[in-house]
Amino acid sequence: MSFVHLDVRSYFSLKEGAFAPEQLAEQAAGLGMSAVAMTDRNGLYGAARFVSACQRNGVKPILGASLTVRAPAPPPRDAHVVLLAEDDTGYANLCRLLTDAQLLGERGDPWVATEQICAHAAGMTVLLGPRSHPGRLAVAGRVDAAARLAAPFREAFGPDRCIVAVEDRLEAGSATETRTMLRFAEKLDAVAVATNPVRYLVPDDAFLADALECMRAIVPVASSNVTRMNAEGWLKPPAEMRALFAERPDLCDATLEVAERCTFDLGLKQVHFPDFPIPGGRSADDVLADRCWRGVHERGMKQDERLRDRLHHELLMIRQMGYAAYFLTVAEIVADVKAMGIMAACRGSAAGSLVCYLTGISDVDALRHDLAFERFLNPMRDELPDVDIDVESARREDVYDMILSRHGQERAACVAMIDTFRARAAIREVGKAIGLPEVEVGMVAKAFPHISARNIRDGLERLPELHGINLPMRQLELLFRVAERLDGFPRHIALHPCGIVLSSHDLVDRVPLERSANGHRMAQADKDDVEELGYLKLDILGVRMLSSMRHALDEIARTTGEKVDLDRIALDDRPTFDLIRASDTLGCFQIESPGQRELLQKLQPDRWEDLIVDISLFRPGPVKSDMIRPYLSRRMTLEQPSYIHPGLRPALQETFGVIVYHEQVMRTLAALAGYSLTEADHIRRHLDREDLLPGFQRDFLARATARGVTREAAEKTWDAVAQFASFGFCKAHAAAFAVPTYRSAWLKANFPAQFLAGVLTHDPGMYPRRMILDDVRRHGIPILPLDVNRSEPEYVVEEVGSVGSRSRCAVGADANAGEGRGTRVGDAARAPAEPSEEAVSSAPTAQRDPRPDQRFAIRLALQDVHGISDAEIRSILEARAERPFGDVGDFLRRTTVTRPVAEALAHAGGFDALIGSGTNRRGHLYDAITVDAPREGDQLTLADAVAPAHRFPEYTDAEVVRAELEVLGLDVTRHLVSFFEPLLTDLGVTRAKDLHRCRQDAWVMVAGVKIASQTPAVRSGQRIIFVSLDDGTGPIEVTVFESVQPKVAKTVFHAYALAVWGQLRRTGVKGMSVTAEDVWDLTELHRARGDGRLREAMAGPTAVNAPARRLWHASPGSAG
Amino acid sequence: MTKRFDEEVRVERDAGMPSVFEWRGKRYQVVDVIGKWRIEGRWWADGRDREYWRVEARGGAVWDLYFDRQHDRWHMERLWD
Repeated sequence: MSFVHLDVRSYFSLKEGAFAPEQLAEQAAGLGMSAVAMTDRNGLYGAARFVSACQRNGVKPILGASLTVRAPAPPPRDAHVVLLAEDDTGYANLCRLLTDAQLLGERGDPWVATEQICAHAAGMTVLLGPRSHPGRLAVAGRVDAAARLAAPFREAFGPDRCIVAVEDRLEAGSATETRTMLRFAEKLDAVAVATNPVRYLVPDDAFLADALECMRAIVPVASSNVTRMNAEGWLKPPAEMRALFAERPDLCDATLEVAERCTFDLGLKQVHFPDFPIPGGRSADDVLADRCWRGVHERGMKQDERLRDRLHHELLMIRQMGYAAYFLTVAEIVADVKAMGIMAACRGSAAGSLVCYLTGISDVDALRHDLAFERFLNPMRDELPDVDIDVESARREDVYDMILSRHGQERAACVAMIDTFRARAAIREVGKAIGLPEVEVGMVAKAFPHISARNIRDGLERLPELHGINLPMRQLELLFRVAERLDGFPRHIALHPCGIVLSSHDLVDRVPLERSANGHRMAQADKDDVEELGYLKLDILGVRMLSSMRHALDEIARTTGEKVDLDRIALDDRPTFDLIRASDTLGCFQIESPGQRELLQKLQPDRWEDLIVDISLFRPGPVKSDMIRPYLSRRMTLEQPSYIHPGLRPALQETFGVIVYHEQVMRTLAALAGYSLTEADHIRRHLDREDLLPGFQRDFLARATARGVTREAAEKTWDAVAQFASFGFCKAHAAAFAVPTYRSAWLKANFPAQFLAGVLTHDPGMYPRRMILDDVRRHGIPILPLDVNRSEPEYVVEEVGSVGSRSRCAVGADANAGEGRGTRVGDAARAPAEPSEEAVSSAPTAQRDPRPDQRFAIRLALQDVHGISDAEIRSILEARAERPFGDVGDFLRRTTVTRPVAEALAHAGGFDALIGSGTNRRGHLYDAITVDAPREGDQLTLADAVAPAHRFPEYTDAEVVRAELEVLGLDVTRHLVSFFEPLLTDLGVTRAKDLHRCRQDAWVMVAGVKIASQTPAVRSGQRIIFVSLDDGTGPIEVTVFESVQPKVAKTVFHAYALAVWGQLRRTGVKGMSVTAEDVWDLTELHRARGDGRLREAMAGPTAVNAPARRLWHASPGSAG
Repeated sequence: MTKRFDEEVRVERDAGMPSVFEWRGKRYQVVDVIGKWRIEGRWWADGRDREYWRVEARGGAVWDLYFDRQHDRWHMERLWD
């Protein structure tokens, strides 16, 4: 009683199959099946996962696919045939066919013609079922015509491999269909097999197939849209299939014969090295060695014994493991990237390789920093190494295009990423499918933090803002029943943000390729699949910091004529280390967070190596386990460095005897017990394995004592290793990070305006632009207003002459000066609301004048104008290249800018500088709305020309700031909170900069603009909302626990400025957070205060008032 | 000619197949099973789940009976005479 299913679609047939490849393998094994096929629609996405699951479950996997075949005669009609791979040739043909299907047509509409299939028939079996073109004719009763149509298949595949698939789906007409399909097989003189179109594993899951079908077609779930008649499309046990075809047991026997023939082995885990074309028959190893020696000269390194030994050692390992071509390929790619004028930096353990340094892959000298090669490449590692290259985020696509075109589809493709359903998306799509009103579904979906759909029901009970939602429970139940099952289902196949798979010439023979949304060639495999398939990959990450630095370099060259080469800057630049020690590092790579800046203050780095320590120490593990303290106290010579054993001194000297790096763990093990670094890395890698630990320990102690180490010292060493190993950091990784860290700090120290312009343009870090703008102000760099005649797409630097003259055109300085509040650091007259040093760092850092060069100002950019498009920006630049804009009408006539955007520009002051326009900002805004500016093809002619000589009132200060926020998302002239000052005083608010003076558990009132909120999944299952407020003196972290959420959740989510009453908690080294007890909407309180009912507003139930979208029409309510 | 009904009937099974049914007080002997199919679905609405049997009764008339799996009862749906 056996049977093999040959027509099975998993959830990789998107929105059709209702199970994972792993579930298929398990179910097949559970039903005692010896083999099972997986034949997804136009793809082999699940192949690696399916094969590996089958191997685990002792089931033979058969790989195939269901291809869309398009008939040429109009109108094109699509049908499906199933193709099964029998051997290597067949699988290669299948992959190439699928690639053709995906790449030749429109994206998202893969298809092939019958002729294409027949041309690739070798090594494959074709199943012609009732959904194939011939099958359809047969079902319609036209058996002869069906046989004629199937003849090309019969000819190409031969009598044994052109198979008619007969189904009995137990539908009303099934008996007839089965009979005609059998007649069709006879007529064609082809073998027939019994199949069942499997779309779900058990009958009870048929509802999922309906929901998926309707979601795919974007139609409501209803009888008219569901094609399924019954729940027979499941993985029926062999006995049931046999019973169904009791009259024709040969049809079931035939499935076994097909399965027998399919012997293809995907060969998981066998490494497929890329090849590197080398002329003249030289080996890749030789070429790599040459390149390295050339690199020794180029890098100006001393050819001593240490270098020679190290290089020989690395080259030998690379040779033994066969990686030479991979290194050459990566080196070539990095060189190509740099040749395009794009910054590239290597990150990760690859920086630990001298070969990477010499071939230009990395810029970290592994020898100088004593980095371990074995941490990167190690024969005992069970995973393939990959190199990560950071490139400028704005140029990432260009880099992809270059690599893909240089290396061809036989050798390179992007890695895919399977985007899966999570709660929100599942609820939205299912809700739409079962016809629930969009608004309510949206509310339900939005209310959920990003949890998996499986937990939806828990979420519903717990979320107070969902109580009283206007949906019948029955419908919600239905919604959740489907949505929770969709958890983990692929939603669409996207481009992985960074992976490129590199292979020898056989890529298309083992992985089908398709096109990503933006046209890149992409493998039907995600990063885990790529690893299983044994391909090496190169991760190309787009890093905004690199784009920021590029922008800074361009601006430096443009404004000063200086061509800075970051590869050649001094590594001991005084101003740079002064800046770092003063923790004036906002905007700098890796060292800008509050915690990092605090660590910098304690650590006081004064050389490049200190940055490596700093980056390694500042991670949750070391901070939490307090391993920072011993290091710091020894560094600050409060404590003597000590070594458990003198033999450890060479390895641990640089960190005063404390184990900080992975490399030190390895060297410690090697030094005392005589392990090779390869073995030592193997142990380090598995120190989290409770099961292996005792064995490692025994071995280490035995070896160390045998080498004359005392039992006590050996044990203490082992304890230190075991304790720190999980917190240690890869030094190579930190050293690689330290490169852009240092470079960004160098730029900030030497060219602050240009650097911050880059940061503002590319937004690389953790802070919103408005915080960076604060930093700009703090450095005394004037901020020039938006100006349609002068603003560029990006933030640019303008020379404004000496200090004295600059305030003339600087909004920031102007406004502040007007109120008698300078931006000078340490200014005693500073008003409390002034965005100050403490706004970004709660630690005192006044020793350093952060304003080395005040010649330059930053001009606000067009890119951040709300709603503006690239095309509009282009048209502005083109038009003003002819001549500057004279007035708003001139602007509207000569550009393609839409009225709403022109309105926004006027509102934010973009026309204020127009000379001779004779009106003010409100006048410009009026013009932007009303002026009749006919231009070609413009249907929009509003009112008559401007009413002459209107006197418009000036914008108030509050209106100016609100306009800036509305249009640019930035409070340019003043901090937003400054408008609430009197209210804050009345409320008795404690400012962020003063919070550290409060004792633990003190009750405080805090307030500020909401800058971030998140609701991470917490292990306890409790939902906690974290909110960051900014009150102009620094950030305040607020924690909202579940107990108060019913009362305050709506306010927390909807208001943009909050007042919070709560208890102060100290967290970690210097972290502080306020645990909320009550929360108010600050604008609400502000209004209430104006009406003289502040007390009532605070006592009453907290109400939500979403901020009005168009603030400039609302009452400004300036607080001065 | 067919006539449509939707009336409950009493059905006896033999080896899983209907063998005798009783309708409007009369007993019918099943002599042949002509077809069998299932209709299931509409979970978003009534969730019907029916097992249909097309049978020939003694005397030559063909009947469509279905077993309502949701409610565990038989119905007579159609008579072909």
